Amino acid sequence: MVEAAESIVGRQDQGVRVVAISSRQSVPEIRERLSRALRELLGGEGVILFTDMPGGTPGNLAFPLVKDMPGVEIISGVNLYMLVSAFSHRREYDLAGLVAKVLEDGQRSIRDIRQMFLAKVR
Amino acid sequence: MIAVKFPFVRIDDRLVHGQVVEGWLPYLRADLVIVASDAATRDETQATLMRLALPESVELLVLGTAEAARHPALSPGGSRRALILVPGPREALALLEAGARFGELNVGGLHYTAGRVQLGKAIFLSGEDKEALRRITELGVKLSGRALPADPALDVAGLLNGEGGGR
Repeated sequence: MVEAAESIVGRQDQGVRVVAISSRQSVPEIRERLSRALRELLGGEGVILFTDMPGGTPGNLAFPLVKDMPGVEIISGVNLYMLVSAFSHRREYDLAGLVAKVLEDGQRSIRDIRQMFLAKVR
Repeated sequence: MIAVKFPFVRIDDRLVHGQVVEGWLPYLRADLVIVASDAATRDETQATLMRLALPESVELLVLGTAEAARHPALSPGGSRRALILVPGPREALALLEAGARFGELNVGGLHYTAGRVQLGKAIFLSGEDKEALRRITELGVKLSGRALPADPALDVAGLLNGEGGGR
């Protein structure tokens, strides 16, 4: 998904980490990889951690790590357009503004294409 | 990045898609998109999907190459911030032969199909494509291979010559 977003809005040379999680990894191992990625990203103007779904393992393991960390936001339901939006606007907004923008764009990108099409052609 | 002159003409076999809507449009601040393709004028579904993909503030025209070449945006001194999309080198050449004028051609996406030779990351050319691009350079148009505004430009004409084959 990161690669697809980069092919749309350009390579992100820094400030992006991908932590892929599979059932073959232990919980401490996943936690360690999440912590390492966060450590590498802290020190900037903020971090947005995107996870798959509310209540999913990535979010469940990440939230306790970032709960008390200032400047780290965590958003579930990541889709391609959320990444495109985040990559496009990360230099323009502060962290809170970017989170709001990404949530809005992400939600706007979930559409019934047939209905959209029919509304256009009437 | 790059100095932009309008009309900005791009070869992209996907026409209006993510790279164009999220990458080129904001970069160019274009207010008019002309899709110049005889095939696209016959496909209303595709035209509607392209309309849906573009912001409301951007005008979209889907025209055959002959009609597109007559549009004021493709004349010298055209005042619109126009992005012209053509599906392939053949259509770009058709525009020029029908009287359109532009100094540079952005060779963006020409994706893989069997029998095409790869020149850049998303630039695959058939013998006919190469021939059309050579003719375009002979007409004094500069070719620059670039998928996205921030990409380094690929010297397509140089690669065409360096490779030597294709005729």
